[in-house]
Amino acid sequence: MKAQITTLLTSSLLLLTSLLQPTYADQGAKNIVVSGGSITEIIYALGEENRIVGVDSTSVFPVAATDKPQIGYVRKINVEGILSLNPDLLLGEADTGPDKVLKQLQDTGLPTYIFSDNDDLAGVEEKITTIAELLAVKDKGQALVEYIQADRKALTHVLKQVNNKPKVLFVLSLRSGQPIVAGAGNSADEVINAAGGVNVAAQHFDGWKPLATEAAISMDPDVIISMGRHGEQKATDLSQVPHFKFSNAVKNNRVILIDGTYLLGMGPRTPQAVVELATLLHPNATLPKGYRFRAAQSVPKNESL
Amino acid sequence: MLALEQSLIPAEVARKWMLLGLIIGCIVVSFIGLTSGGVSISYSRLMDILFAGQSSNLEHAVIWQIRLPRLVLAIVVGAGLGACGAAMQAIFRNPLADPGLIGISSGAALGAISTIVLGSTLLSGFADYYGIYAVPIGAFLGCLGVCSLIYRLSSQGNRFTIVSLLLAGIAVNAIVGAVIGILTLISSDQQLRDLTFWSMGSLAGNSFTTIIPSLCLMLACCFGFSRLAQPLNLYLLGEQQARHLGVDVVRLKKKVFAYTALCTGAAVALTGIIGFVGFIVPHIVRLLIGPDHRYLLPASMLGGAILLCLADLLARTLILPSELPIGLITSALGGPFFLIMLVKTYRIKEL
Repeated sequence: MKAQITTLLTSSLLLLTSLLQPTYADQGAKNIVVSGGSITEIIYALGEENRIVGVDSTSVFPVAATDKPQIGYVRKINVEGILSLNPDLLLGEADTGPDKVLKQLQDTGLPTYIFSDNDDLAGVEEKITTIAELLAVKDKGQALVEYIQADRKALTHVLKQVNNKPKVLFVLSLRSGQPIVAGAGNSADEVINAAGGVNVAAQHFDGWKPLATEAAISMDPDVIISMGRHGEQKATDLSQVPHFKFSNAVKNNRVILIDGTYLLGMGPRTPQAVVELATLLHPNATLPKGYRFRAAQSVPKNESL
Repeated sequence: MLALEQSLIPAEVARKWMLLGLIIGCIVVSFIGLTSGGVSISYSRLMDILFAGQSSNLEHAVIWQIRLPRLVLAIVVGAGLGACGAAMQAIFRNPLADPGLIGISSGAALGAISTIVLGSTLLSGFADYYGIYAVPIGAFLGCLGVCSLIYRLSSQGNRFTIVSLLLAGIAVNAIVGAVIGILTLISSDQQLRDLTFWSMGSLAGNSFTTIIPSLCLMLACCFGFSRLAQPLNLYLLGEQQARHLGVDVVRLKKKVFAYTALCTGAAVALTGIIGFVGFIVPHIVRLLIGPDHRYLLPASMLGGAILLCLADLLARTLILPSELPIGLITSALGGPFFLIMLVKTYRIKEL
């Protein structure tokens, strides 16, 4: 009896909260402009991509998203361009801007939803849930969250087997002659730590900084990660520059190239990307039975380092 | 280059017609700018919105909150930059001078970038207090600060020579450049992106409330410049000659310096750095109608307004629904046009 009352209470509560949802309680926003790659990725993963009427230039996965009308770079979106798409919702990452442009958009009466700054690995599920609610497809969101749980479990499984943490360096590019390297407090640092590695640059600086030759030599990373064609393992220009020539990573041929949006996008594929990174950092660890990589990696554009 | 009888339109009457033509051109460009853009609004609808008042909410908001402030800003900034360029070229007696010489661009960049990079730490009180106005105010203060430093260094007592101004300008610009480099180095990703975009220039996102103070300042400076036409003409003869003809040369130079600093500072504060307008517009106008400042100054203002309106129109519409940086367009439009004019002038000289 008591149990029944509890169920009755909770179900009526649920009914109440669903009635009190002010936004799009019936079927959610229909014409959405998205500014931020991970949001686009999530909407595609929910199978609701036909609601997207415009994307920003960071929305590069899935490739189909790049055919949608472009509203500019996430931090430099264009007011009139967005209004011309007749959206009924602007869904944006925390860094959507500039602020004054965003304010102008809101002044014209366009509903906007800008995520607060939680673009991190732990926040993926929360983001999915929020977007699913805005699109009124809660069950799809729930399904996607459960789908990601497999990746989370696999990661725990892999990390249980390891006891040493390799020294890792994440190199953004070599274009300026000096490698731009990830320090502490950014997405690359976060995924390295999550995958059971130590970011050697983290103790020296924050953000992304150019790295001097001798500093790089003294860091002596065991593994170097860089962005590029997925899974390629050839000795790239990275192995040629004096910064890394003498490092363990180059000696043992452990320069890993991973697609940037897959690993750092903080979208629904990133949890799997971290599992994959963990297996690359700890080649002896095994994946749980029955787990395999399911999400696609985007086809990268030819990036010359 | 700055001598008389080397223009394409030497006759006085023709110059007056040319001014009229520029005014008409400015009006035409304004209307084209108001009717075209991402949201399509026909010419008749525009008239309704502007003069009859009522219309659908979105169209009304697009015109009154987005396009009109942007257009007014483009006109006034263009006019200001054109006038400052013309005056600078006169004072330096060199057609290659531009307002950057007296530290305006670097000073504004220093102010804006300091606000962006240190806004969350060292200057957090300032950035929080002024909100979205913090960067424009920072840019303006930085501009005035660097300009007054250059002014102090180059003026001793009642001497204010062009050589000392040039040298002080070069030295201070170099130092400021180094400081900006240091700030860039200590900036985070997000700040780095912000400052990159700031230095590319843009007219986007301004409402009437944000632009009115700057507009008043720029218009006042333009008015000030227009009263300096006659003394500037005499100044072109040479400093000694101008002095004998009763021009207070030092005061004239100081006035031009002050107006340029205030006017360009106010412009750059709102729009970021838009290069090339202050250099190319007076240059082209001079090739057309010669260096008589009674015509050169107003024509430079109108020309600058037209160039910036056109450039902004293209920036807003070329790659809809996104937007191009405006500095890119001003150079792409101005450069080839300038070259054509130059070639033509040389041909005339050879005949």
